[in-house]
Amino acid sequence: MSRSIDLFIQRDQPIEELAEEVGRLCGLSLQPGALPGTWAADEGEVHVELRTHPYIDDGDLVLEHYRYALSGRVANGTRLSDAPVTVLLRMVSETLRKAGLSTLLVHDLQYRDQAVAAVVAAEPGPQSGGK
Amino acid sequence: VARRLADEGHDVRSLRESRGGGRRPDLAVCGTAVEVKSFASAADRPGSPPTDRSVYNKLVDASGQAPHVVLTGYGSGLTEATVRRGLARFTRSGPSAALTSVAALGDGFDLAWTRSPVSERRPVPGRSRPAPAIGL
Repeated sequence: MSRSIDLFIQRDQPIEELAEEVGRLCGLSLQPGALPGTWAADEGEVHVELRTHPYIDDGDLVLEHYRYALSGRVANGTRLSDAPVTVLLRMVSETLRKAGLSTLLVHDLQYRDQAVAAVVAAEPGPQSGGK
Repeated sequence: VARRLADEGHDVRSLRESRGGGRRPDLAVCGTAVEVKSFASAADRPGSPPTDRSVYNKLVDASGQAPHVVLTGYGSGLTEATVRRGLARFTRSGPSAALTSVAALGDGFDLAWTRSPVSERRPVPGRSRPAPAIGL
């Protein structure tokens, strides 16, 4: 049983422009994915996919604020918080936030990544870790 | 979930994550793809118990992986009423055509939903075709 890790990203531009921006800022080589409208990258054993996400707001997860999600999956038996894909998406989240993009990292569509939430909470000034 | 299905006499095989990524189902049950979605236990997740919106999002996620879905919510605070509301929301506005069946297991409930074939329902002349019936 796999679980998802999703980095929600707010950007109004088309997905191909966001894919290029994420690639340039984060060093990810995003290529057109298997499904139309998706972009994918492989970093070692980590696979992530960028797409327009279909999810709705759920409590403090204000997902509809974000247009896109960069998502990966974690196999059962591996802690989500320690998984290589989670570490990668934390790095992408931090890089994008420093570049002024609004992001939100969510575990298995259930709760925020606590490491990113703690960093965002500690930052002075306007927060960009979620609406 | 796999053990339970096997105990019921099904041939259950666990499917590995595909190398190079991609979304694929968790199990093959008698050759049919089944996706299992679980809610973390209350001890393992911060915040409130799953809501109907949580159920909706899980079903949307699963709909891209397999036509048959099992939701498990043992210890998470997921209730039968929440599952029903989430499923109703999903059939109203989600990509429900992608799913053939949904089962939901949790503390005190064991539910199943199966899509009724649209072809068995006659459209009323001059009106739009009715949505497939659902039942839990």
